[in-house]
Order: sequence, then C-alpha cells, then structure tokens
Amino acid sequence: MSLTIQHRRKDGTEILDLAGQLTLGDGTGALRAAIQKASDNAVDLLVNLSGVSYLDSAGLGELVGSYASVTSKGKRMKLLNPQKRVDALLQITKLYSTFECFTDEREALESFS
Amino acid sequence: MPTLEMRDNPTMHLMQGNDETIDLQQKLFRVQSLLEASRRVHATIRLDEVLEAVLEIASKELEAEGAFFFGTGPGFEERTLVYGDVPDDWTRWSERVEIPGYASAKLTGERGDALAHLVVYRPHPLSLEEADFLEGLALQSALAIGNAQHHEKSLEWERVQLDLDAARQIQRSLLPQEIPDVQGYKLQMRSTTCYEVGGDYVDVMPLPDGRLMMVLADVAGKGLASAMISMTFRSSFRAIAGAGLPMEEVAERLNQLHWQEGVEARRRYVTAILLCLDPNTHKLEAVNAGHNPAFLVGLTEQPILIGASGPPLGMLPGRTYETESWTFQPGAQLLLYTDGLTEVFQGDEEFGEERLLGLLGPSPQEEFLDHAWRSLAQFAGNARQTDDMTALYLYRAHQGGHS
Repeated sequence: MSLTIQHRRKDGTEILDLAGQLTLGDGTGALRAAIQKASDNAVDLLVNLSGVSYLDSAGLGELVGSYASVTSKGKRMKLLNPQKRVDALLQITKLYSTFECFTDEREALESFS
Repeated sequence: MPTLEMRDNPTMHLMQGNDETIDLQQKLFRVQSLLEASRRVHATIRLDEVLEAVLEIASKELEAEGAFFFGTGPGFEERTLVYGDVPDDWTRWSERVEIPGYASAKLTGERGDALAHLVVYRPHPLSLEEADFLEGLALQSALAIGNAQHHEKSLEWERVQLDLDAARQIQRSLLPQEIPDVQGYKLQMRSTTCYEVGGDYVDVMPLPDGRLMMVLADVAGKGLASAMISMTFRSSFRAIAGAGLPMEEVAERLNQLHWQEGVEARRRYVTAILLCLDPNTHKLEAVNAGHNPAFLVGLTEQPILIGASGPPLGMLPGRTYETESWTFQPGAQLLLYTDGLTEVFQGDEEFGEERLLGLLGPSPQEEFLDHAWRSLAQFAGNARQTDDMTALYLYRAHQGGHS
C-alpha cells in the first residue's frame, strides 16, 4: 500500500493528510516532495498521520529530515494523531521530545497562532 | 491457337522450368546464407563479436559498401558500430528520412522495445529477396544480441557478487572474534544479516582498567548502504569508547560525529545501546539512544526495560543522553537485540517484545542465543529472514556455580 498525500490550508497552516505506508522508496519520496513544495510556500506545516498504518526506519528518517529542513527555513512542523505503530516507534526512539504532537486538529492549529 | 501452341511448345516449357529452378535455387541459396549467418552470429556470446559479425555478414552477403548499427537501445550507446565504407554523413541517417542508397531493418528486443536499426549502404536498391535476407538477419541479430547482453549482465552480476562476498567476509571479520572471558560473567553475541551484508553492529571492547565497553547498534535500512554506515559508526565508537569518557558523553559525541557526516548519513541514523560493565564492582552502566528497550532480568521482581533517553544517533545535532546504572547481581541477565528479532512474522502476527522477554526465563541460560534463534525460526515457519538480526546476551553466574 503506497502513500497518498492530500493538501489542505486552514487558518494559514498547510495540513498534509497522509494515508498508507510511509516506507523507503515511494512513500519517503512522496513525503519529501510534498513537504518541499509546502515549505517553499513559507507556511507552517501540520502533518496528519492518522491514516499512516506503518512507518519503517527510512520513513522515520524522512519525517525527521523534513522536520530539520522545515525548521531551518524558520517555519514550524508539528504532527497530528499518529496511530498505534507509528506512536510506538516515536515513543521507542524518544522523538516525542523533538516533535510537538497533537491528537486534536483544532488544538494543533491553535498552537501555531 | 497460339497460346495452346506456346503451352505445348517443349522449348518454352523447358525455359520456364529453368527460370523456376533458378528462382528456387536463388531462394535456397538465400536460406542457406541466412542459416550460415545465423550460425555465425550465434557462435559467440561476446556482444562486440556478435555486432561485428552481423555487420560483416550484412555487407558481404548483400554486396554493400558498408553497414552500421543505428540506435540508442541498451548496448548501443557507447559503441562505434560501423563496418566497411559508408558516407561521412552516416550519422545523419534516420528511419524517418528515406535517403537513397541506404536500406535498413529494425532490431526488436525481447520486450518488443526497439534496440537499433541494422543499416546497409549500397548505391543500388535491394531486391525483395535481399530485403528479406536483411530482415531475417536483423531478427537473428536481435536474438544473439539479447543472449550476449544476458551474458554480459551475468558476468557483471558475478563481479558484484564477488564484491559482496568480500564485503561480507570483511564485515564478519570485524565482529568480535573472541569474546573476552570475564570471571563470573558470560557474554554471548550473534548477528545474522538478511542480505550479504547488513546494518547491525555488535561489539565488545575491553578497556585497560578491566572494564568492558559493549555496543549493539542498528543502522536505519538494510543491505550494503547500511553496512557502509555501520562501518563508519564502528570506527567512531572504537575511537571514542577507549577515552574513558562518561557514557552519556560517548553517546553525545557519536551523535554529533554521525550527524556531521551529512544528509545521507543522517537518513541512515543509528539506534544504539552502549554498555559499560565493571566486573570488579559489578557496576553496569547503559545509555539507550533511540533503540528498542533492553531487558534486564533478575534485579527486581519485574524485568527492567532500559528505554531510550535520547533520539537515535546522527539524526539531530546537539542532543543529550542519560546514563543509567545498576549493580549486576548474581543470576541477573541482560538482553540487547535489534528489531529484526521482535519483527519476525507469522502471517500478520509479529514475534514481539513480550515473547522475546518470555524466552529469558528466571535463570540464566548457557546457550540462550541458540535457543532464541531456534524459537524465532520456528515462529516464522523457517521462512526467509527479512531483516538483520543481532543480539547481545550477558549474565552473571550464580555464586559458586556457572549459571
């Protein structure tokens, strides 16, 4: 199952709705392209992970790499609603101390203002 | 009636018969030539020789001044493929432009893709039979070229395989060849890769003061790229580990060094657990950098899970880590593992942490890793390994006994 990414703009924040598997190859490539495009538009990013069923080590690397790239441009990137497997990986790797993460979209959007 | 007379004229009949015979003989000659040409182009497996033979046959059999291949398909990009004398502007030849003096036939690959055109240069046009011959030769050429390309690929693959075998031997030789014999302790390590080489790394390094530094690490991804990164990580670890630094500082330096290696290395970050055991004081120190929790059994009623105090190494700059420490009691066991062990699947169900922890049991086991590998293979129904699998098992013997 490959990754699909839908773009939405709400309250001046770009929301990326991810669905599928974020894994080496198509998944990581699609995420990189989407985040590159969105961050070129110079807005903050909210990455919605509620549709991501699986994340491998390459996917995690891409997520963190994207975060580094976005923040280096002076913008913010936050995560929304990671599911069981993704949540476990973020816990194990202690990356919740790096990513700001929300379960509620409204709350996430308000945090940018 | 004249026509009947003609039909009945034995001389005419003979002449007509002669024409047919000559015609048949010519056709037979062409078929024989094509068979001979086919034998020659299939006589070699070397691509250069096949191409040269085809051009020579085309020129000689069709009494052309010269011949060449024109195309950009695989195998044709970097070769100059001209035989005999062709006009200087032969490179301007195109299938779309009909230029007097040139005749061509298309070579099609196995998948129907255009490989090239076989073009002959002869000022007077080809007869129908000659054009048929050229088509037949092109067909045979495409087959022979396909075989030769397969042969080239298999030679290339053989070379890559030899390289990978050498890389595997090097990687295996860099695993600890001798496990240090530490009074009262038993240490076991095992690493198996799913491809020729892998991104897992396990090591033990005795320090001059008698302590043991150990590491178990997993580079993101698998295969050759991860193996290369694991080797640079090994060098960094070995250079830093002996400096007598506090464990958290070892982790912080490894993190920074790896991050400074650049974008590709950052994507191939390293999850790791660093350990230091002092066998005299029985002090065990550990730092977990984004790795699966290690299991420490026998110190408390419930197993201790040694979780991460910071993210994987090399992922983000300037991260800090914390060292945890315990006194390693007699009968205590410690298991470090990579996720290749917990992510062994039986259908959709994975082996998981709980099952792995369950293998440990209340008392140390002399051959624990053999037991673990057997259990994992059994769980997977002896299916092919899909990830690198590495583990380190350490226990302290019960006082007065070996285990």
